Amino acid sequence: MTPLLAQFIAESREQLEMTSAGLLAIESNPNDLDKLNEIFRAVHTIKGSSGLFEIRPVTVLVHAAEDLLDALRSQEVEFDRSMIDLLLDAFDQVNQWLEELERHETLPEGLESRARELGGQLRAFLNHRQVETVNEETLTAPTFTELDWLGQFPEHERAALYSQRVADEGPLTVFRYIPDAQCFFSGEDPFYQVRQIPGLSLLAIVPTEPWPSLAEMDAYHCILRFEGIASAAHGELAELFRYVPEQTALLNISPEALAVPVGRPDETVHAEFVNEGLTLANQEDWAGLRGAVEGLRDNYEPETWMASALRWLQRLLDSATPDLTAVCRLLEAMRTGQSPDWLAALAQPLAQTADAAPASAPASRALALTAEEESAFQRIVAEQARSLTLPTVPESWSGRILSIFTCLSNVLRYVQRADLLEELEETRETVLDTHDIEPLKNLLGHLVDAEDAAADSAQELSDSPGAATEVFKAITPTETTTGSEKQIAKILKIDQHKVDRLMDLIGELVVAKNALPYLAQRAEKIYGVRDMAREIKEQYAVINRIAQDLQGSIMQVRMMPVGQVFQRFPRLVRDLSKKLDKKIQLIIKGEDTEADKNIIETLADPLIHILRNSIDHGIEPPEERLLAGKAEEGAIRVNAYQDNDSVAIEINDDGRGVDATAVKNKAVRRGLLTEEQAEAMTDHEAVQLIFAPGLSTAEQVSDISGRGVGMDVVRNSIDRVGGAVTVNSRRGAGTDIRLTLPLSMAVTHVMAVELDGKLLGIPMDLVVETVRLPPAALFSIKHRETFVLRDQVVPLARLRRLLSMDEPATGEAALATLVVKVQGENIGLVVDNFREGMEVILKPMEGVLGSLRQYAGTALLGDGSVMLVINIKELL
Amino acid sequence: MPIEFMRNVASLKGVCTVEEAEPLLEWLQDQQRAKVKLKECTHIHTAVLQVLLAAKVMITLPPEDPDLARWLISALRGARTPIAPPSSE
Amino acid sequence: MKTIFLVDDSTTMLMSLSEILQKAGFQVETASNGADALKQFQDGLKPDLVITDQNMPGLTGIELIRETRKLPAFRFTPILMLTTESQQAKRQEGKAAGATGWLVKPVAGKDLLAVVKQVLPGA
Repeated sequence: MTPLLAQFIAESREQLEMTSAGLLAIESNPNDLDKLNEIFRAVHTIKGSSGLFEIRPVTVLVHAAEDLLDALRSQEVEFDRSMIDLLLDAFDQVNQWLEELERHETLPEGLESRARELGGQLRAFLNHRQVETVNEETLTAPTFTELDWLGQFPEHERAALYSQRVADEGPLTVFRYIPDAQCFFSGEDPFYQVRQIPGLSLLAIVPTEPWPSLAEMDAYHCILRFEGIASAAHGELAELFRYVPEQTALLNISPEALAVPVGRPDETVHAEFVNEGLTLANQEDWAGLRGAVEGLRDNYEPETWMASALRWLQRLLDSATPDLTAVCRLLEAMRTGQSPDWLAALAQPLAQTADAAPASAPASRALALTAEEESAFQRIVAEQARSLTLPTVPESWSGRILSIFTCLSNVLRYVQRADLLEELEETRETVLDTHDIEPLKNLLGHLVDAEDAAADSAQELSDSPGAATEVFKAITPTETTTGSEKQIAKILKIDQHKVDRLMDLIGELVVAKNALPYLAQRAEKIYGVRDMAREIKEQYAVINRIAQDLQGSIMQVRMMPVGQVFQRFPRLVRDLSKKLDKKIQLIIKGEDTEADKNIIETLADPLIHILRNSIDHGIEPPEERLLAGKAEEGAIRVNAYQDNDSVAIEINDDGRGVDATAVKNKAVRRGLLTEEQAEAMTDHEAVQLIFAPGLSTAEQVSDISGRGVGMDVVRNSIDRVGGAVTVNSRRGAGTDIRLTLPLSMAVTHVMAVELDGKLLGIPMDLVVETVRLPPAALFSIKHRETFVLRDQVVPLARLRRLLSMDEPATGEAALATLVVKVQGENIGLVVDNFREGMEVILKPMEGVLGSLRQYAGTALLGDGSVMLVINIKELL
Repeated sequence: MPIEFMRNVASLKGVCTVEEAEPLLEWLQDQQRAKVKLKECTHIHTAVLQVLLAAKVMITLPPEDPDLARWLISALRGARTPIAPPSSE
Repeated sequence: MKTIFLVDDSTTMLMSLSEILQKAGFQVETASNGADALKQFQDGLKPDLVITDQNMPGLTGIELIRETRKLPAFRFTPILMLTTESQQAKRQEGKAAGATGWLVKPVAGKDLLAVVKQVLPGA
């Protein structure tokens, strides 16, 4: 996977987690604008980054969510609880896709319809919202009122451009750019912008006011304007000037507009020539008109206005098929000696389109249609409009819309209206996203200029499916205290492997350090240098202290707040209680309590299991609670706190508690207990049985707590990290479950014992005491060896036997016996000999040894040897 | 610095940035017969351009960059033959 | 070599934009929030172009632009805003605060370079 994708996945997960938590907060307090902004930002970030990858479904869905959140925070739509459900669903879906992405680095085909479906549901809330069609350009963009200024460019330059454009039929766009006087202070360089105009052909740079004297000039007050002509399409220039549309006027022109006669005016009346010319033109007698122009031209000095006008007329007539209207316009201009009004000429044939589609540039039709083509075009468009009115089932709605768009796109391509294709594409996106066909109706309206067809069909256009009919009221804005700047902690994100590596190294250091006492011993005993031995011990003390500090620090790095795990709880409680029709309040305390990362991770599943049990079996339905005289709403309290060297987590509910009798009965039925044992058991003892394998007390297996996975699983996972779990039930009043876990798993205290000349470790926290038993103190009950320790009968086990080793006769020697407490019971464990207690870094068994459950792991000793640490619970 | 000032000749080189408009203007204010060399210039910021235009400064060597040279000539033409302000709104 | 300064709270965005710009031969400096960016500017860093995200915790992009324009060294520096297509109003607000222009997320490599070239003479 590329680092970028990995980063994206990790980051998006983080954002989604924050989002889910935030949404629940919003649910209880819809006016929390800060929270809403926070969520919006998170979603916005995901959307922004998602565009970097080929994961359109994610982008589409997150985009819809973002729009809804944006409408919520700007209070354009009113908050509705069902929005939260939908948003949560959407983010769950995104999460799932992220997992998919993590596994396969790509998303399978065909997810987009799902994204659009969910997105459509989200957008349904927005349907009434005005689609933002504000077009900055049309609102403020300056427009040209005349084109006479083109006359400032030398006639020969314009003539060259004219003949070139007539020959290649390429686009021409005139522009005028009047930069803001303060534009330099926005980092702008207007001249640089202008130099980038594609196909820049003619340019004038002129002051917008008389030049100031140098003494008074302010170099940083922009007083230049730029105007000229580019051999490029309107759209290309609009793109370049997109940051300053209000300062630019752009207009697509036909080459005739370059025909602005300039020169010295003369008084001669040319009415006769004009009338004759018009007659010839209307008869399309181009040769005749050309002749007339030739005849008249030599009568004028070349620098006069009339000579210039005649030259332009000649150029217009040089075309194989002269444009009648242009020719007439220029002839009319000669009557008055005024520049022809090319702007009006440009505007007229485009009036309908320019009016109908303000967003797109009015572009002249690139292809003249024959009457037949024109009418076919109209028929096709009208047909599409009509097909919109036909009733449809929601399933086939998208298909129909898509086919309409495909048809329109083909038609537009045929008539070479590329300018409208873009608009069509945008409309398509909008319609599919919003399920609102209004933009399509408008577009069809533009395309049909015969009003009848369009008007008729537009009347009866049916509404799209999923359109929300409710009218939303605006939320009254509530003042929220803002400005509580969150402290931004400097957080370093580190790959966990690096921390683990550091931890390993420290472990090795601890072990290496433990070699020093051996060395001191050798120095003294073998080489007889006492002073040396003492110095080594002193050095050892120093290194020992540093190693311990180091260890403490790295532990701190691995510490994480347990709240990390709690984050999922509100959602869980919310979803399950909704499903079960129960009312449950979740109260969480002590989220900041810290523990080792591994421990926290181990906690997640057991805790969720316990919580599910409480919700499913503990808390009663509201009616039952009312009958029992309890509040309708049940409460589950999760409380975490540090208790000496361990972390304690308590989960209390005020539900019905565990039915001890039911547990006993079930245990008996399952053959876990005899009737007599059950009889003798206290209720408290019976309740502990819920941790026995395969004992589920619920009468019916529900799909919430599941089948077969009982509290034994909880106990096992807690055991594995050296923790403990106890349960206390108050009949009818609730259940308390308490988990205790070590703060850190890094260092284990073990008691070393000797067995067959080798060292074995036994977790220190299980060791109660050590005793040496004379063989005479042993007696047997029911074929089992026992002894009496302070008036209590303690069963005895021999470690050699448990590990299937030889048991040489020990005669009358006292038995080295370790008293250990396993599941609340004392047991004597006979070993060969006791050794010292020590701190070791416990490594789990790996590879094939991993299946040896009687060993908890291995530890490296100071002299370099490896010690096995026993898992007594498994062994007994 | 792309602008080198030598007695009454300023030599503009490379891309002349907006920051240079002010020093150039100050220098021009003190010069009677200022001349400007643009030979090695590839772009001049609008602020520098308008200072040059306002000072109607003599350009001794036009830019070698053909594009810049062409538009600069347009600019100078526009500046010398004032055109009535456009009636755009 | 021209220096471009990126501000975005999303590491994914920072990574992807940096990569594109570095490959095109720009020196890239980054900050993950507005306050940090501002601090680096105040400490004397002077990039040729600043590109900032709009939606960030703490200072927003627009607030950052407003503050940055107050620094004398940044009076004329081109600043681009990263926005989404729905943020038309924000763009105008950004312009008013002193932004030179904006980029619309998601940013394709060639678009990014085209815009950088458009606002950075000599790039």
